[in-house]
Amino acid sequence: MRGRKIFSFGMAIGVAVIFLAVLTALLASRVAPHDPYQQELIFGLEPPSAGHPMGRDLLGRDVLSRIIHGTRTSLIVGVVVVGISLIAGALVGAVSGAFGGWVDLAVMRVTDVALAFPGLLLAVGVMAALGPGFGNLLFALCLTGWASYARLARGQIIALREREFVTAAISAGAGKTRLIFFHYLPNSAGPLLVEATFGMAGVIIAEAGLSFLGLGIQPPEPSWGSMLNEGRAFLLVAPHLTIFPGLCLMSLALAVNLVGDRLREIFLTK
Amino acid sequence: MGRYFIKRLLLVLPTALGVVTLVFFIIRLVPGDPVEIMLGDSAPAVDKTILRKNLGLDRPVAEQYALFLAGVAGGDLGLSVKTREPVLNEILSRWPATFALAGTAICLAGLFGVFGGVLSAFQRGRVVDRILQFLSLAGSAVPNFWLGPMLIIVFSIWLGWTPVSGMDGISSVVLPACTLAFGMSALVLRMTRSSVLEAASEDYIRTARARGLEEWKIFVKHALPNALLPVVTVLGLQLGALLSGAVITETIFAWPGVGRLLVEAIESRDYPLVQGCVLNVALCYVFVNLVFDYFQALLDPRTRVDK
Repeated sequence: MRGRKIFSFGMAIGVAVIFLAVLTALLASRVAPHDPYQQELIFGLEPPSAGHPMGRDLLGRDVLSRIIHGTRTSLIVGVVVVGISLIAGALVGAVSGAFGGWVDLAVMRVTDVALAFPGLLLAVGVMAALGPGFGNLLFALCLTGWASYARLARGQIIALREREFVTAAISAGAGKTRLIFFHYLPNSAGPLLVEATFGMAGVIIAEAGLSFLGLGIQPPEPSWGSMLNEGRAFLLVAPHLTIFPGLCLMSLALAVNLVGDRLREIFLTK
Repeated sequence: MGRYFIKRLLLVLPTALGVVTLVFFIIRLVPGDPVEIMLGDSAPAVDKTILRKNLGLDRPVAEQYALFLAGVAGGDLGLSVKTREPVLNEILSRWPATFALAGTAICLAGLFGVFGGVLSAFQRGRVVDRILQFLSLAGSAVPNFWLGPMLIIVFSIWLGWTPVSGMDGISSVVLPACTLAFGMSALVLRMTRSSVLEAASEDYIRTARARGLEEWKIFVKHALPNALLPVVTVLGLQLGALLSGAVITETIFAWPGVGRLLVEAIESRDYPLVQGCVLNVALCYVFVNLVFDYFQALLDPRTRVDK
């Protein structure tokens, strides 16, 4: 019954788009019709044509090929940042919830501070200091991302602490570490997975946003955000530079949100 | 309620101190010598020494931190490296533009979100509801750094209805405010729909139906007023996204607000100004949340956090 419910129409579309994006990222070098770094200055800002379906950028590089290679950047950043943030946040939240007392108080105050920076602001500040670059980008986004998972994991664990199976495990002599890894975290996986799915869409957009501001991935590396930044100066003469990378970004984020929406219905709706 | 506010304020103060501390350390993350980066290699040694002294970078970190805390408490965030003006003055001169933009965006998001949410709830399960639900999901996936340029292409370049950028009259606020409001209105729409549907299942709505009231009147006059509290909460919580979104939106539309100032400061490597902008926006977010929390508790005593 539940197995049948998993695949709604939206979920199927979302999974299909994500699958396509992963495949594109893995086979980018084979799928891309041209070299994403190959410059042909005399063809700069050429509109879409049969040979270049998404046109060319200022330096005459093929926009489609750069978008295909940019998929890899977006997915790698999304997976790595969400993975690290989820693991770090869940562990911190679990320790906070399981130990309680001053540990909980201290951890939650630190979490409050991380959550006190709205959206991209902390990442912008950190990137401004560290300078652009792939590693710095991952660091800045992880620094911003872990707190919401910590808050969620702690809340879940506090709710689980009074449940019978936890009391039974404690009576059987289970220590805090065993409780965290064998009881608390496995039973909090659903809500954390839902949060991570929406977090993935957020991170993909955040990476593009930082690259758009010139703080993330630097040219000539292809990134959807930096492509949008480059296209901003040519809105009048070459709108294709803005339209196509944005559509790809939006489609991927929407696909992830569709999956997240369905997962939320499955895991969080009774 | 006065005691409740003071209690919440005391809970917020450690967070505010944490924010100040984190912002203090941001400039310390700069790889190498911040003074070298700000002035460049070719700057005279005497200029570097003066700037290092002005920024307090020649003192031990603990002393720098104490001075920074004292400065923040006294409203002194140092001088901008670029303009030599006090950082706080520079930021305060930009807040009115950001408030104007954010205020308009909140009004638009509230208006469209609530209207769409009521319509969606009223048409539950029908085509209109499905379209609005899909739009609200799509709304959260549309980045403002794409939506902004798209609106410029359509409304400024093709139709010529609004200026491309800058702050010049009411028409210039329309596109940036719509850009900023879009994602937020999607969220308000979802929240309004679910709150109205929840309220619609209450007994007093059944009574209203039994009295023979028209369905739209039941939704607008009875269900909506009772469903607005969570919507107000979402608007308050989304203020953070709005302030952070303003950094990008103001950059796209050359809107002279705090967000644009932050990006300008980053471009010119004016670290004291970067520090000041980040601190200002974060503290503003913390205290606006406090005020929203207070009003929420005032409107609905069940939401008070007493622990």
